[in-house]
Amino acid sequence: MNKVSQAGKGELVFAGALFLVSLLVFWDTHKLVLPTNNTVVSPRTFPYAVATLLLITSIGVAIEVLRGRAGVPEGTDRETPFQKADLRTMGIIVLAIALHVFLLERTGYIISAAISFWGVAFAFGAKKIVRVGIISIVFATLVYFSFTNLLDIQLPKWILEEFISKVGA
Amino acid sequence: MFDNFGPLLDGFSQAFIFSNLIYGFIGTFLGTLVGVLPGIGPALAIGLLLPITLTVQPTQALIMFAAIYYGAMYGGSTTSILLNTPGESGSVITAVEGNKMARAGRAGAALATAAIGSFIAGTIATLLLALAAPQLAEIAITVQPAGFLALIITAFATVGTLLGSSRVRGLISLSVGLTIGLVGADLQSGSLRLTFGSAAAIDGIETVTVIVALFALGEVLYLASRFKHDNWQVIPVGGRAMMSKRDFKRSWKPWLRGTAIGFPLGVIPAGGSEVPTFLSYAVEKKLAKGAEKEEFGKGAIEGVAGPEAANNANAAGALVPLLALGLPTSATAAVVLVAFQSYQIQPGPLLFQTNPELVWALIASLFIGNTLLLVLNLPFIRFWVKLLYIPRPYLYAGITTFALLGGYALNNSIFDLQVALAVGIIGYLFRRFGVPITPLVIGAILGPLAELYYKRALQISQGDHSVLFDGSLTKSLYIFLIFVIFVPPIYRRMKKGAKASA
Repeated sequence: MNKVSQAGKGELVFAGALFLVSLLVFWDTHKLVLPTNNTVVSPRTFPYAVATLLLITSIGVAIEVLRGRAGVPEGTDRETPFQKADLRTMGIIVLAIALHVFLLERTGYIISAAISFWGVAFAFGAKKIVRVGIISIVFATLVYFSFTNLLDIQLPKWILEEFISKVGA
Repeated sequence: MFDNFGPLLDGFSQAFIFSNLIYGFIGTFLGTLVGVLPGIGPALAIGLLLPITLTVQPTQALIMFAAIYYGAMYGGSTTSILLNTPGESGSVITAVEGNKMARAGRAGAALATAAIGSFIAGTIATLLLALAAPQLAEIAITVQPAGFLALIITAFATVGTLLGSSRVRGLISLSVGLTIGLVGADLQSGSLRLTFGSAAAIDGIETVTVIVALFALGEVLYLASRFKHDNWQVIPVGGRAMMSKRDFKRSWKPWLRGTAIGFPLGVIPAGGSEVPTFLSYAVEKKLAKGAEKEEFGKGAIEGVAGPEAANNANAAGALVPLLALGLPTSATAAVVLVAFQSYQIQPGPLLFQTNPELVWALIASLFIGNTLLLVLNLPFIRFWVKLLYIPRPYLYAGITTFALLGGYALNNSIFDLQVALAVGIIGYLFRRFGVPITPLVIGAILGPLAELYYKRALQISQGDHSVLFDGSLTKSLYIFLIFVIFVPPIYRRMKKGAKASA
């Protein structure tokens, strides 16, 4: 097991997670409520096949890693020194997206889009926080305005959006 | 063979209506604009621009997609020449040789050979598409469900095993895609699969959301994970995007050879543009002589001209099975399929009978879009280059914003956005561990279709499985499949053996 590199350990967890997913598909398919009318092919057949393929391939990937052939990102090779993922930067982005999802239908498009824009820009090292904040709001407002007014695509409204559509009219 | 000529002319008269030309122009512009942005390939570009066409008429929307399709590819090659970022796989080779040319002060020539090569390859390949797709559709009408199942399984196997660094990783990507395709109510029985009590999941998972999240959010997360290590350097374009007579002489043969390699490999399911561009590069390297051979690896114009032509011809080739069979063979073709479906248009053998004017308008607009690109883009190269200087924080924030907007606007659904976040994280993990993304996309789209054909075949035969191997088409496809699966490893082993004994 010693030759499994730092990155390889991560990939083992990845393969393990997909292994669990395949078990989940098996379980879900097993407890599937079957239709009363008899069909030639059971709705279970195909999911069982998919789960089997996922099960086999996840074990296959794990074997690859244990043999010292861990996967490397496209554009790099095994000689490229291992770099620890920048979890802080990634965490901020995931948080920004999650906030967007949470807020969108609560506080309207502009606020939630401005927050995610700002969050991602900040994660990627934008320095002047206040200026980025202003750009975020302007950008989100422009996107909202052009999609709802020019393209007729409705986005979630709140007080801000109501105000803009009144001014726009 | 010339039966198609009349409908094609009708298609041109459709496409040449002024308002339709405007849509073609907008599509070209937006496609290039989005395609130039680093990290955005043609699949993502179309996915991101999908909401824009939600309220446009079907014909106009298809004209726009045709223009966006070629525009995004053109934009992508500009980026890989001037900025060496590993973006979508079809431009990897362009990035190798084109970037070296740019560093050597020959950016203008590299851009010009890529653009003119793309135009020539695109035009020839679109012509071949206009000839081949109706013929294939005519044959395909007689294909039975078992035949379609065999076609899909072949596509799964080739896409799953040809892409990426290892076959098992291609297949695991395919499996994850198939699993995503399972979610929701079973089409025939109505049984709920993998919904875990969520009402929103009954309709299944929106494919566009999957594609956009994989390519956009996955890529943004990947770049974030290593952003302290990466350095970007845009190489300025000295002079104009022009070729000398000598460049032209060195380019025209690679253009034609690239087209010849790219188109057929797009028609058969070879998994997108990775294989043909590599192949074209290898051929050009082999054929080069003397001083020109020396240049390979340091910026040989043949190494840009060939693969770039192959890439474009491949994209047009991929439209043949998409239009005639309804089967996407690359991630980009998959997005185009979804775009069609959002207008209740089902590509496939019947399309040429039910909506011929639509198909021919689309093919005509591919010609027009291709020409517009050449006319508009080379002279305005300086404008496109400016896009590469957008500060990275804003660029990624913008990409994220549009990805989230696209994820939501299609169905106005928060559930779609939750899926997008989850799929984005999967996309990051795939990228990180060298798992190719295209098999996932193909699996998610074709999985439900495979199940449907499987069930139909067995319904016809009353449950007799031998129907799956009936007919010469299914038999030859499965034999081909065995070749695809077993020949490459044996070949590799033999090569290793030869090396060891040498």
